[in-house]
Amino acid sequence: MIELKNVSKTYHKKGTAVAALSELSLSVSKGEIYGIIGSSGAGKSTLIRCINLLERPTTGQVIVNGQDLGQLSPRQLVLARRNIGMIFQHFNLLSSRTVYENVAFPLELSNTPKIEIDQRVRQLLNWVGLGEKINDYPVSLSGGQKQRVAIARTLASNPAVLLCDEATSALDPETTLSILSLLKDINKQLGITIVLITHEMNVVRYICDRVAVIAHGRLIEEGLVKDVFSSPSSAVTKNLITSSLYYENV
Amino acid sequence: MVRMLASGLWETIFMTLAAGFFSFLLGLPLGVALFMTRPGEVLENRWVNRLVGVVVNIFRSIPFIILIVWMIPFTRMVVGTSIGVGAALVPLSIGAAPFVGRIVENSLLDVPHGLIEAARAMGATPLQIVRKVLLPEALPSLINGASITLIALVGYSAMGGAVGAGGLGQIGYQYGYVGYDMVVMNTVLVLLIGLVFLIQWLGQLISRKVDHRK
Ligand SMILES: Nc1ncnc2c1ncn2[C@@H]1O[C@H](COP(=O)(O)OP(=O)(O)OP(=O)(O)O)[C@@H](O)[C@H]1O
Ligand SMILES: [Mg+2]
Repeated sequence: MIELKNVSKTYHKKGTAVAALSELSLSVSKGEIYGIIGSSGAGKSTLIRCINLLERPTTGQVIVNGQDLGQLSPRQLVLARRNIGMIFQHFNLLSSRTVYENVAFPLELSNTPKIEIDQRVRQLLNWVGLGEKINDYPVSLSGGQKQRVAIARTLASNPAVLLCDEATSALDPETTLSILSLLKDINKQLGITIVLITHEMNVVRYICDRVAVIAHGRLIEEGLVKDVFSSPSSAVTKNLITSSLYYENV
Repeated sequence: MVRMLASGLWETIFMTLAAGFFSFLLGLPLGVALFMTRPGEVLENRWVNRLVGVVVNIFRSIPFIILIVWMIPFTRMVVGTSIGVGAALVPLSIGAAPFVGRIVENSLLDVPHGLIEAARAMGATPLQIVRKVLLPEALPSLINGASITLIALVGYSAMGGAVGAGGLGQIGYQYGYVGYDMVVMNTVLVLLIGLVFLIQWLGQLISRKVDHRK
């Protein structure tokens, strides 16, 4: 479903080059929930942003749904992105639009007829449990509700893949759990492949099938969650796990 | 006398609004271009950005009273005359357009970058990002920018009055500077101040009305 081949990304800032990703390859199969963990600055956000080419890799290939995204024309890339959903830590809802209009946004982009938009928006908002809030503005919603709207919005265009960049990091534990179970439902019921970044090991334990560990822009290890967590093969992974345990015991 | 002041007031209001309209017509695309071609933005293009930036800065550094005189040949070409309200509109609009461009650029800079990211991720084209994300999200700030522009235009149009543009400026100049009439001059002043306050008040009212951020 998603394949990264030898992806490198170098940022140039005031003359110095920062290698955010180096020669990173990984593949995510259809229908799985794939977690990416790593310490701050490891390159997680850069990696997930390469999957929909928000960030263009310096070298390497990104293949999603059989399409080599780097080869597409701007117009084709725009269309390909409508098939790749994304949600963010800070939700990124449009403050000038109501909940309803936010969810309608991606459908307007593809010039969907009004009647169809109306049906789809109401159905999605009921599904994420926000049928009541249809005419509210995002400012009046809680963090968890905002993320639900963002999820409904990104599902509106029927994506095959959903990218989540720290989607629960701004939420309290209880809300995190409810969002994660919503993501699980999305995966099970709609068969959407999910890639999620997090710094919370519990999130990975709870929801992911496989996990990749990243440090300094490189893939350190990858495998089934239970294998990686029960017998981590690298010091980086051990550290991440012990520090998360320490954190939970505090 | 009252009739003269009323028609002067009307001319000033008309000049301000019409010049405001035309300066936004020119300035809005300029501001959008300045923003969209900035480094790191969707249509990043260093040369276009610099070129537009330089043109804007040049026009912003010409004092308005000089711009009026300098533009006389062009004004004649466009409206057929170089005096009167219609003729004043040309330098007013062109003088204010670069100012509007910068104000628009600044308003767009205040739109959280995450919103542009999200729109790109959803497959929005650059034009859709401008129309459906940037302009609506910046609307409260754009309206404030519009009232700043209109207030500046009240001042500019009064300056234009000194060179025959009509309006309250011309009355103030003729009765104040040429023939010293305290009453007329002060009335003109009060009318101008009232106009500025009215614009400011309306601007804030509308801006607050369309702001859904708090
Ligand atoms: N736009 C940019 N310009 C320059 N350097 C950048 C840019 N974005 C990221 N970097 C650098 O690339 C590296 C990886 O950043 P990235 O945001 O991918 O890390 P991360 O794993 O997501 O970290 P965090 O957990 O803190 O979000 C960092 O060293 C960062 O400073
Ligand atoms: Mg990050």
